[in-house]
Amino acid sequence: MRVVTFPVDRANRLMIEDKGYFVFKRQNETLCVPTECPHRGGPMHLAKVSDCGEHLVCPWHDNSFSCQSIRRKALPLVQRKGTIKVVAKAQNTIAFWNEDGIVSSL
Amino acid sequence: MFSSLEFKENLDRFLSSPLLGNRRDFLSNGCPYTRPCRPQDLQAELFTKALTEQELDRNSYLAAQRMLNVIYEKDLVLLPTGKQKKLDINAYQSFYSSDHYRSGEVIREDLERHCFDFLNHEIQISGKWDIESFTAYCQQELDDIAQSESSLLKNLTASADPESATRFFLIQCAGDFLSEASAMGRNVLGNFGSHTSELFKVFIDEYGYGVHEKKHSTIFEHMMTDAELDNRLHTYWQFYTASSLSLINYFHYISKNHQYFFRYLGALYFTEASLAFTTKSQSKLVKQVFGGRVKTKYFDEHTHIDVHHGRMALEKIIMPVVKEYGEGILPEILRGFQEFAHLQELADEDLYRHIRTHDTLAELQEMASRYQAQEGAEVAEFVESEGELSVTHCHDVNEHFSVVSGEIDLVFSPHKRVKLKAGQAIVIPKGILHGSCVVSKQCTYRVTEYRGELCAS
Ligand code: FES
Ligand SMILES: [Fe+2]
Ligand SMILES: [Fe+2]
Ligand SMILES: [Fe+2]
Repeated sequence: MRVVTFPVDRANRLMIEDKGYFVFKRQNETLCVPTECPHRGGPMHLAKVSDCGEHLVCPWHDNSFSCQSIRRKALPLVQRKGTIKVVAKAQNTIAFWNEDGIVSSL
Repeated sequence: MFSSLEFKENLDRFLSSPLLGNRRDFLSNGCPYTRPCRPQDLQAELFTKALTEQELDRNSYLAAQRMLNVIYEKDLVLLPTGKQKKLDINAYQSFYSSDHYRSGEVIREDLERHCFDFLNHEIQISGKWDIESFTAYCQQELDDIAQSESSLLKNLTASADPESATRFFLIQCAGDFLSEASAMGRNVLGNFGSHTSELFKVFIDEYGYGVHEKKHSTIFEHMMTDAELDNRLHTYWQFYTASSLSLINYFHYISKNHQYFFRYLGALYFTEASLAFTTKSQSKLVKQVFGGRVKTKYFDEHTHIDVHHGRMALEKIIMPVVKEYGEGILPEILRGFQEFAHLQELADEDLYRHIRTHDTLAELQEMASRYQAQEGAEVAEFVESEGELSVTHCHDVNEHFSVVSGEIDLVFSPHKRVKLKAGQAIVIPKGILHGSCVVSKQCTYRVTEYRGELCAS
């Protein structure tokens, strides 16, 4: 169990052991969710927001996933004073960085 | 939320109580009911919107926190304590009157939103929490505080006048500690299974298990006396900063509204667990500054017992409650933990800003004397007669205050006064608590916005 701390503007991608995550910002919440699409592993961090604003559409096969279901897979997170803290069930290799073009529905 | 008309009517009715009106003294000598709030400044429109964190230095925040404290404390039994236990029966009846209670209840929700809604924006919690990640997170937060150097000790000992600074700090604590754990009392009523009794055990420690000398508020009374301060509740009402009041009120807010009971558990955990080590540096501060003249039993008792209280809150209350009612309540518990931590940080910073201002009153006078207001700047002039007192307040902008004739005392704390004579001036930084009192037969003074640089604070 580890608390990973990083400034909001310095990272939106995260690697915890061998699993990728991205920071998904919505109007009133910030989520840290897996990048891997549940269908065939497509890049969910490059998804599009559906017209209704409540779904993410994976760029690979256009499957659409509700924010509700995405939220269920989110890591425990607290955002305060420009800092994000995420609790990870891992001891080793944690990396975070900033990547352009990540989906957000702000 | 109530209609704006209903809010306005009830705000006016609430503020019309003589207990909240203006006074001739900065200290309310032993009467727990007199709570000056400067009704003349308070229009309903000020409170219609929720403040952001950047707006907390506004006077409406101070006023709303004052009113909320009056509203919440109507649920407590307060009688005069200390040497002169004189009961002003009229004040007593008027404080607890059902009319005043009713108007307070109508305006409460809007005031709570005005004061506490910003926390929803400043703190975001998401993801799937379980008891493991919850404890790991909280432990990390508490470790960080425990390991960081005490900013209280550093800032107050670095003050130009550490004794006054420490007294000002004790005054900020007094509103809470002299009726300690009263808000907790709201949570021990009812029945939530065996956890009720676990919380009750913490409660009886706070209340000295029925031995009055051991009651935490009694121990604090002794400390106030040692520090040559009045030990009766709310003598220093006018000198509580808004951020200090927010700490007392937050606990009432989440305890009066039982929809926030789980937040209460988180806030309880934070406060008990963190006090176990923050009281160490508070004790050190008092020893260092007063050189043994002030006994530190109050802080030392907490260094000891709050190790237990922190553990009890987590292991005997939170963990079993989560086991029973599900992990879905964890984000709420965490919200309480984090919100109180946040308010505590803001209160610390606000305290240091006040101390720095108290230390630089001479510079603020310097700055004011060099200042030339821009042409066309709005200037208000006041004429007041001897003994006229302006109840403490703060301004939304930096203020240039200059005396045209006569003499006036500007009061920043019971121990920090500045006497201004004709031709003298001072800059009052925005958000800094102050009042004034005319000390010559008559005094004319002018106020205008100060648009110059502010280096002092
Ligand atoms: S991998 Fe995402 S829709 Fe197929
Ligand atoms: Fe206590
Ligand atoms: Fe305690
Ligand atoms: Fe003023």
